[in-house]
Amino acid sequence: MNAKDDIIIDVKNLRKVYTIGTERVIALAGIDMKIRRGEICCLFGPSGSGKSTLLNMLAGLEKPTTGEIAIGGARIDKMNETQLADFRRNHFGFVFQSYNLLPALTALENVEMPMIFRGVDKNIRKKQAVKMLQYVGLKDRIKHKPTQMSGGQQQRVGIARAFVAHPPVIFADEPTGNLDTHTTYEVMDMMSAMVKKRGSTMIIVTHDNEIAAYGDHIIKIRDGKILEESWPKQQIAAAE
Amino acid sequence: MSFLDILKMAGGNFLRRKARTLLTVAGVVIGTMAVVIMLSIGQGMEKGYIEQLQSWGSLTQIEVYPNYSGNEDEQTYLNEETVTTLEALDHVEVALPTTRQYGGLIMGRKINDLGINGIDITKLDYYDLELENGEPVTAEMFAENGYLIPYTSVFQFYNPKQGWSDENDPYIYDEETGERTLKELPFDITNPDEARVKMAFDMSYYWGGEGNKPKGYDVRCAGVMSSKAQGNFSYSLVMDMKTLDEMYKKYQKDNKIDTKESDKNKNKYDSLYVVVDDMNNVTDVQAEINSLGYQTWASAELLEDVQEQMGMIQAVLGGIGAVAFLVAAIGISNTMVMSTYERTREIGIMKVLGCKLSNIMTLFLTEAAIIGFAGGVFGIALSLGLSKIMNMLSDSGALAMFSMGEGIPISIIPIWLIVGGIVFSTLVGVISGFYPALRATKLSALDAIKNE
Repeated sequence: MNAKDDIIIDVKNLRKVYTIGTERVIALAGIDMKIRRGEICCLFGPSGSGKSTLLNMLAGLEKPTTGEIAIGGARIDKMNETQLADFRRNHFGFVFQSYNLLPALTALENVEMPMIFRGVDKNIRKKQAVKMLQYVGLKDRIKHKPTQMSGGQQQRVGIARAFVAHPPVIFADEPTGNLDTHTTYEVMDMMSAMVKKRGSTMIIVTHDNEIAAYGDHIIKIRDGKILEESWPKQQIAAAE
Repeated sequence: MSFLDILKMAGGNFLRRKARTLLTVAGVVIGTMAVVIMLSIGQGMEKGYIEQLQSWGSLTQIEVYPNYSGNEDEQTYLNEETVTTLEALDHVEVALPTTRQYGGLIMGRKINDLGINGIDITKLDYYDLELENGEPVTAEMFAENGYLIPYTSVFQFYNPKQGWSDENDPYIYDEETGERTLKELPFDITNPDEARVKMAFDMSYYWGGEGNKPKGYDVRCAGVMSSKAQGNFSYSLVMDMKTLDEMYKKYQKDNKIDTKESDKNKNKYDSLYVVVDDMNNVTDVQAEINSLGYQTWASAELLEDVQEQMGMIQAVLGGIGAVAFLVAAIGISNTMVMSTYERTREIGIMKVLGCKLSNIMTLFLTEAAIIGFAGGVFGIALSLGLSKIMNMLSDSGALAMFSMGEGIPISIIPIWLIVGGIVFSTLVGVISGFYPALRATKLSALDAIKNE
């Protein structure tokens, strides 16, 4: 199959305008982009560039003002709240900068969460969650609450939660923003290995060059527009 | 998300904020108790009134009178035919005829003026006769001119030349308190060696009237009726109506009374009671008997008025309790709204991860329902305890002024009130949780996870 045809995310002329009081703020000023299945795509730019807004819209958390977003052919810009919730549940995994684990639940229960929402049988989801926690190296932290874990450990729980239900698309918003350098590499290695192993697609929002280096496809964003698009690994591969 | 998962999550949320949950539940407990105790007092009052009515005659009985309209064609009588007709009606268990003569008992020089009731001993079980010694009343007792005598009547043999004395009073009075207590029987009237008693029908001789000393007929006392008996049989003798009829005919013959004259009265029975299968059918049966040309009276007629009044009293009492419940409901709403504020981020995360809105709604409604249910269960448990204490105080006299009568509890909590109380408080929980639940579903997922 021609790789170029295997587009999982197709964005056309995406605009987002916020009205704050009488002021109109243009967050995204017409974005066109395509992301291929299996790619690690970095939305790279300084804060205020609109990269997080773009991610939120791709993930169906925010409505575009105009434009089209098709994910695996499904027009999520046309969906209502209920349909979006269903779509997120069945197709997306999320990794957040501030982890966003439920404080009342144990690591295991947090990882089980997406499968609980999907109505997966109790025994099956428990087995899967344990396996996932084992993979991220937290087998002995299963019964711990988030407050009893370090930031790196919490983010690994977050990763386990994002991948556990095998979603085709993973969204990661500054996933290492709160972590030290050593842990940052650990976490990034873990995520990219998982994405490659499963053939899933990951969209990472970052302002960090070193994170962007993990990307197959880098989209530089500034002032709500795409400044530059590159595929460094392909170029390297081509050069070799 | 399965309901079991929702239930587990809801339970977990309570354990995180034990103090607040307990305080909210306490509010519901008080609300439940207010409503349940108030209604239980209403129940006690209703029971008191019904028992009072029953003391005036069974609520399932209808007394039937002939129609004395004066018009020959419309005149109705109480006789065997009437009994057959009435017993054929729907819901009628039995029609109980009674004949009545006036006369008395003679024991040596003493006499006792009494009414004499004749009953149909084939329907003995329906007449509600009880003996003081607790033994059952049997048909054999009425054989050989057997009769039953009321407890207080045993005291009332007196010498007509001397008139009544203290001996004839069946009660002893305490001069200080004015309370009266029943005396023990002065002699065993059922033992013919101790009391040789005869029956007569015209006692006017003893009252200084004309004529001869009446002839006494042989009778046999088969038992003393209960001192607690009420109604028709508490002041008259009871015999088999056949025996009474035969004796009376003999009396008429002995005294050469023109029987044909008295035959003009076609009323074979002096009173007739119809026993209905259920209290609620009394009105219908009564209407049917009236349409047959008889007049009727039933104490159940009063019951409807009492029930209507009781309904109003219950509504007022329940309304007072409902105010406490309303406060509790606001408490639940408040707690749940607070909870949505505190858990904004959590709800947001759940939404981002694709949790269905209906699941979030159900989660909050379930939490509110649990508060209502728990409050209901504890409220009922405490109400049962409080009800018991109130009734104990009533028995011991401390709350006697509120009691409807001796042995009738102030507060009655029937099963329906227990079940209803729990269901109601749970329902109030769900309703109170509705706004907070709706609020939770409307939170913006994005805003929720944005704030750090």
